Amino acid sequence: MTTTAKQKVGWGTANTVAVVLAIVPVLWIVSLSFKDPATITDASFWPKKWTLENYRGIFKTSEFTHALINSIGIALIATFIAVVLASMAAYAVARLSFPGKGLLIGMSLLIAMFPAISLVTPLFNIERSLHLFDTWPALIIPYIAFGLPLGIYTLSAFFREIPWELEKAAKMDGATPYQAFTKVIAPLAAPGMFTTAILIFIFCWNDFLFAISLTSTTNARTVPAAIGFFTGSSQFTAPTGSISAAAVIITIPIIIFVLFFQRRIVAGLTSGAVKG
Amino acid sequence: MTATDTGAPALGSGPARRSRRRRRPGRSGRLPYLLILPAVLVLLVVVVWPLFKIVQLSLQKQESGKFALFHSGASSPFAGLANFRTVLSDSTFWAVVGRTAAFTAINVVLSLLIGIGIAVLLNRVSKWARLTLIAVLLFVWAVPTTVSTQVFYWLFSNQLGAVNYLLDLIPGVHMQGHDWFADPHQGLAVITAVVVWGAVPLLAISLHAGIGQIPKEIIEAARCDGATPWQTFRQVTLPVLAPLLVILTTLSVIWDFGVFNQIWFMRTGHPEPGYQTVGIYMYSTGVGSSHYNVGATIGVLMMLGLVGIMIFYIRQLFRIGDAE
Repeated sequence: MTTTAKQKVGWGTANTVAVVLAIVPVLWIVSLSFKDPATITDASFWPKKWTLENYRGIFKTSEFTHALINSIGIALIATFIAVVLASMAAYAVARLSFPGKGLLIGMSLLIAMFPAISLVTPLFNIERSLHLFDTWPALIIPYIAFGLPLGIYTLSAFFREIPWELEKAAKMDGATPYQAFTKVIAPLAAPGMFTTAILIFIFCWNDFLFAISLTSTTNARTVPAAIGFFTGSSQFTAPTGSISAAAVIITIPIIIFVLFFQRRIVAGLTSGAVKG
Repeated sequence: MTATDTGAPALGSGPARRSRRRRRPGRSGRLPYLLILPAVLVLLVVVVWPLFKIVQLSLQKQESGKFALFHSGASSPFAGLANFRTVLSDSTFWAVVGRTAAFTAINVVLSLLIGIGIAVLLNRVSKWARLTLIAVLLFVWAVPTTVSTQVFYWLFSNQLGAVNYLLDLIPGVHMQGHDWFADPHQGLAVITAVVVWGAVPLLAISLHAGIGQIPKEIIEAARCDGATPWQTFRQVTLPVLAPLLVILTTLSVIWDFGVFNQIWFMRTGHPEPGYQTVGIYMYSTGVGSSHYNVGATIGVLMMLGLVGIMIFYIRQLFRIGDAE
């Protein structure tokens, strides 16, 4: 296992190049968001004069604050419901045997990779006829549905790893079924559920397709869709500063997740191997 | 050391667990159904009903324009396969299909090649470098496509774009003020850059996990037998990774075929004809210009095209025994 110094330098360089290529586009948008609106089109990578003007600007408009509230509320509610429902189903899949299990797994796999775009047209029609269009449930319901397969798949992988014998052992030691569940099983299951929640939250938070198709006003429009509307306003007065500030703000939760839960997310991604 | 005995390491679930799960067959009674009921209900409402609806729409006569909204499903006249004939005899549709196929192929090949490269890289560098790269990859994976598309749009923009500036520094290259989006081919190349940039992290992380499962002894043995690093990679690493690669390729094909956000957002909601892939074409026809029936027909055709790939994928997963 001897690696020559030359090879080491080579791999190290490749690593640095990969990191730089991946991160520069993101750093650049951060830099843009802190630039003075007047100098935003100058070619310098870093702002010559740092300013919070762009951030102040977007928080002044109810268009953005509304969208932010919508984003947070919709993503949290959808994630919560999806994780609860997925945990129930995943428990059944991982622990119990019943006819139709294969069908359930097959169906959720099919949906997990189903191009959401092909369902948008009929969903749009259905939601119109149910008067759900442009409300929070209009987005929450599809998010739950598209989060579920990912959740069931990831969670059943996690649940299989849990040493369920402990439950029996606890009962033998005199614990009630409720105690056995809350004191033994729940703490073991929590990390998996938390990881799944992060993955589903990221999916809901980032969604653009449903957000632009199933909303039409600030009533339920989330930030990714609202940014789209910043852009479309005019070709000549491109609101570059506001867009970059809004983009940075919606990326903040993502940065936090990645920084704090890196290992969990990797575990979730590689156990599920299904992207949201 | 066949490809199957290591399976898809990243997707592992051991045989030991399976026996435990089957300990009490048939004794679960009604409980499992109660547990899966809510999930199944949601999926029925959001996936199965729209699926039924899209087929129904595709078989109904196209209502003109905005009035389509006010027709309930039942009142529209049945049109048989008329919509399908319209779509399939439309040369625009076939141009769109061809463009989508080429776009998908390029994106899948590029993302997989770079993904494999980075996965190998991750296994070679020091721990510190690896953790940094993984953090950055996760970050890239998680950045909303709207944000990444916006960044790439600006990077290539002819006003504030850094790419033109950098290319212009190369002697003999004059790129100042070059508009990347005037020619759809160049524009789609920029979109490919965003799509690949966003797709690589998941592929690299999965493949890295896969490579990590390969027993060190095998690699060591190959090296002792005098194999070059490239030979070791070709003869040892790749065969072991093969099942995982098949799955990732299938998934990439499905995702890249359905790319919507990046194209839609890059063209600020009005993709020109030269930018239309099947997803975009379907969306602009259906939701965009209220031709729901024609849009639904395109959707049905697209799904029929993808179903084959999906079945292949699921069988592959089942064969590895992960999904059981």
